[in-house]
Amino acid sequence: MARLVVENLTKRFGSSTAVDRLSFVAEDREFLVLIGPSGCGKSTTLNLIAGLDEASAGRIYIGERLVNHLHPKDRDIAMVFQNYALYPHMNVYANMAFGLSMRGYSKTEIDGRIHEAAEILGIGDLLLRKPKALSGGQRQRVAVGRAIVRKPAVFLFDEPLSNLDAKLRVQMRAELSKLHQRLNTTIVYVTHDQVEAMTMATRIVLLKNGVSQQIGRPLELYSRPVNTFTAGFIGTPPMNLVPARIEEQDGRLMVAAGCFRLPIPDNLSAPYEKLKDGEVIFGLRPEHLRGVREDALPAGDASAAHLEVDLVEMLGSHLQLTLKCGADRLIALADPVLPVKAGDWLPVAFDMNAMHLFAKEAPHRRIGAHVDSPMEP
Amino acid sequence: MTDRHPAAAARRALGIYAPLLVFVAFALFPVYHMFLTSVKTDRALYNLSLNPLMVSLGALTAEHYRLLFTDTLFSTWLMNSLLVSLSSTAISMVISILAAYGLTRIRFRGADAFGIAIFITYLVPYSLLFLPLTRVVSWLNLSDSLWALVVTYPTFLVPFSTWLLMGYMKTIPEEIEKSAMIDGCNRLQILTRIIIPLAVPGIVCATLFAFSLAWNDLLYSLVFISPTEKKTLTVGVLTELIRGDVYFWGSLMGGALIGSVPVVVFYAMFMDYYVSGMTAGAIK
Repeated sequence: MARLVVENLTKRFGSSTAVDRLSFVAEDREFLVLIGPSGCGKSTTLNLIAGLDEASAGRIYIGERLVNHLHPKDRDIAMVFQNYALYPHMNVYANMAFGLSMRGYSKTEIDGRIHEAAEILGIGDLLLRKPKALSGGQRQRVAVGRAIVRKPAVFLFDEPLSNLDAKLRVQMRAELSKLHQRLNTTIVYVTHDQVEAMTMATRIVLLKNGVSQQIGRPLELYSRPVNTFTAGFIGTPPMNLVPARIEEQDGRLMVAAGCFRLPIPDNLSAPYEKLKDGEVIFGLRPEHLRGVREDALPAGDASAAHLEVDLVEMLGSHLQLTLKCGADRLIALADPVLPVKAGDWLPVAFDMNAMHLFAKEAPHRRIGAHVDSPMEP
Repeated sequence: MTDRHPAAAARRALGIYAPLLVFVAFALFPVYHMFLTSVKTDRALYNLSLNPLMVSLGALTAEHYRLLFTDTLFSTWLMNSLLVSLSSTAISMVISILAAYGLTRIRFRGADAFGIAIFITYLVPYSLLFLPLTRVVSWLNLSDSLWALVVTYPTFLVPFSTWLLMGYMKTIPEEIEKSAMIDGCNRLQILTRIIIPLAVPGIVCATLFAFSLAWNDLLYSLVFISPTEKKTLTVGVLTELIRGDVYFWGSLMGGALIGSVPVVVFYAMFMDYYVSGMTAGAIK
């Protein structure tokens, strides 16, 4: 069983705390992604799991073994670094063989494993080259190969795609996902790119300043974010978050913000009753705001408001509109053929069924969020 | 670029090569003069009406070199210099490599301060340091022994080499060592199998520099050693070929010329490493 358990992991550097009582489990064969903005403690956490750094407090278990005081080489892990960390003075074969020969594997065993990994990664004809004769993508594959031959209990990836250009990143993302399926191992993957997290993870651990904000499946973080930080971090373009008031009008609850006043759908209003006349933060993802032509306002529970367009960006498959909303800006999407330019007043349909409300006071929890979300108060 | 005017190309060449020529002439002039002096007869040397920069074929002689090798202990001095320089360089390099690695990678308390302190010891004038070192040498009962030099040379070889190697090792990415740790290396294995192979240009550079410092030393070998057969090249040539007010110019120059050869040969052999070691950073 290659299950990774992290319990109340803490790391302090002098007076600052990089990782604060972090707890999570990576089940066997899971692809767990640690994500967060720069400085949130994700790489530090990975270093602690690997044993490259010592925890100030907390426990780490790999496959039921407590590994806190074990040397990295005894933890049965393999790591892939952001800048590949290949040994420049050795060729690809020697790079991949190094860890195995340090552990005393036989030449035949080493040879077999290297060729197996090379075949999976398509680097079979690069084995005699030195790292400086390889492209970035090839180097990354060699780094992954070096980890694969070790057949570890847990793979650790530290932002492995950050140094690659955009196109290569997309390609490697797919390859890593397929690799995970093929190898069927536990992977802990650190990244700051939420697209990587959404597409590759079975579960995500979102960190901010060393504290876990939310742990769950990608779709959970996407559609039921536990606070505004999660809501704004996951999903691109980010969720629109504007301050608003809850008012009552003719027996219906309304959301009143700087530029619109729209009713809350009846089937959703129950948890918000107690917020009457209170201030909240209103959240709605850009894909639920549609700029439309005047005569094309959709029927149903969509409400509409007329907003001034600040910026129109053509992305090919759709338009991304930045709309003024008092002092704030809202992002909406529209069909690519919509005739709109900056300065126009455009009707915007709000799909209020997808709305979220967050508390005005820090940490801005989502109102109606599940009680068992692991966020610290 | 066989373009435009040959005049412009000629001017550019002149602008580049003329100053270079001047500099090369200036740098090589002493060597030329030394060589000439060592093959001229005494008669030609002391004849002040002759041009010192030229020699007529009749005034050539090998007498000075003969004197050097048969009437003095020149070959012994050469051996002594070689022995002392090689051993003190080897000892200093071992110390420097270990020190540089420890100070750059192992984050112990005061590592930074220690690194600066090592460099500051290099700034202590070595011409003053010989005074207390004389006492140390006699306390160790090494007076008049070549070991005195092997023990004292590292005082000026280690600080500079350590500082140079520290700068070089800092350019090696830390992730490579993390990778090696996960692969199963302990600190010593990381040093021998990863760091040293990658730091070769820096190590060669430091070794060359250390060797030439040790080889060229005059003061310490003069102060710590008196018996003729234990002298190093620099001291021997200086003290034995100047007797009272008689200067054996021919042999002096011959000895100095031969003494310059080993360092020149080593530098020429390792020139590429030396340059890349000085301009540290071209590994990844």
